[in-house]
Amino acid sequence: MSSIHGNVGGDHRDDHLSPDECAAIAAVDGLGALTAQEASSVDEAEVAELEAAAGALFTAFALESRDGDRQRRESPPDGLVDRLLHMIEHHVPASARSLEGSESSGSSDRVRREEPPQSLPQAPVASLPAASLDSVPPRGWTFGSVAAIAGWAAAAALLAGLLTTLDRVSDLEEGRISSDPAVALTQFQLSTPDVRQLAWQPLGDKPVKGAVFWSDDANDGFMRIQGLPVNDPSEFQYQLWIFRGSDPAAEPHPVDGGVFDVAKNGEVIIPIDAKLGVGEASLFAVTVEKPGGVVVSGREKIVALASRAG
Amino acid sequence: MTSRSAAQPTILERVAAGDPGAVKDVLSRYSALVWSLASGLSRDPHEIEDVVQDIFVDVWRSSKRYDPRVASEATFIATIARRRVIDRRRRAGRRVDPEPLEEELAPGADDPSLRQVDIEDEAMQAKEVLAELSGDRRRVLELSVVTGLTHREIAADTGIPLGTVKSHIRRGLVEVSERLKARRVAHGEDGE
Repeated sequence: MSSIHGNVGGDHRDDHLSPDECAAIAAVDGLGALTAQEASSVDEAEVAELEAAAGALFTAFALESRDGDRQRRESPPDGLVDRLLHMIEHHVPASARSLEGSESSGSSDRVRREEPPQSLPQAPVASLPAASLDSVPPRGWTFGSVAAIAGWAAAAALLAGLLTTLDRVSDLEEGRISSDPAVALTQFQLSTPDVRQLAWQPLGDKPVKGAVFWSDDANDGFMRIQGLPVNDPSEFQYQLWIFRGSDPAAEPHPVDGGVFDVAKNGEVIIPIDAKLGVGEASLFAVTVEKPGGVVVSGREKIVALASRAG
Repeated sequence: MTSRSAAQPTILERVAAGDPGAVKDVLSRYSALVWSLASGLSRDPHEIEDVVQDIFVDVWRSSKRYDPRVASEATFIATIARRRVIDRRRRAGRRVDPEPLEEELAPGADDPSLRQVDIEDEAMQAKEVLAELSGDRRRVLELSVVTGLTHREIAADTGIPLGTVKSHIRRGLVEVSERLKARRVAHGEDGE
């Protein structure tokens, strides 16, 4: 049985795809599974209709599966609607509840698929949600050793990072963002059009799960992470590093994304605290460091990695 | 799917227009559907609720893209849900094989939580189409649309040649699409 992890569109393409085949792939996996040339060949209306068919099939299969499994024969838990309503009405700005929508669909998605290097045309599925399946974690990428150590970023970058931090503090104080990390993440996703989601990729025997949610424009983001051992802050702490390039070995000066602790098993949501302006972030790495973190990491112990490079 | 007149905007159209009451309406109407769609992902209700929240966030943001000429609201929401569920599966490296169909059951028909949502019609229509598909085509569509496998993975899993896998997916989607479209036209629900 093969794993689906990390495979979106790549395995579809070992030969020439006809426009019809491209339309079917776009309907099922999104436009991001196609090359720019392939994406330009599909008929928008056809993709929309096929995607609707996939949605209807999903419903039919889900109902069949549920009915065949009596243990799953359950209704939503009590209070679900109230909790969702509370989340929407009290934590999501009204303007964000019906954010744009539309014409610039590909780039305005809350979770944007990482595109291949080619520039894809606008999502053709104007009448359905734009293609938004997640990025494919890179395979075989290893974190190279880095020897060079130099000074930190320029004053302008420092100022950008500082302003981001001050903005967050101000937003918290004024109640614009929630102190609940899960709600704050949702707010961030809704209010930040360019937020990207980068899945943690497998590392070692016990890979972490989750993703980084990052906005280059806001120089801000969150981590959703599950699988890191609980740490004693007096012994060691975790520290996030943000790289601008895809090759950390060639980048000795990643931006410090903040020190954090994992106080419980299971998933934790950590706000990213970028100390500097990053610009275009390409890779995120979590290292284990001494309490309080370090200015320059030796990168001896890397426990999580997420990259936009496919 | 429900007929509507031009003077009666759908819930999603009201959401897109910023109608405050539409928020509660869409949650009340579709939370059971979304829960059902997401519950195949996990046995953990917290994880399910998490993805349900993600789905509704996407619904808010995508509401302006809804076009009743292409799909019903329920199908539009199911399309969003499918993507989010498959996203989760891929991120988790998790594969869930749907249980075999028990033909004697009438899915959804006896479930009050789903009856409140006007989805049986379309789900049953899609199921009828499924029932008419060949076993191979049905299995291939299931692995593609529900499980999220790639063409190559489906070929490896099933032993079906890659070209046939592509053909099954394409033709199966077209078949379902045409039948659903015909039904919308027959019911005067094409939004024209």
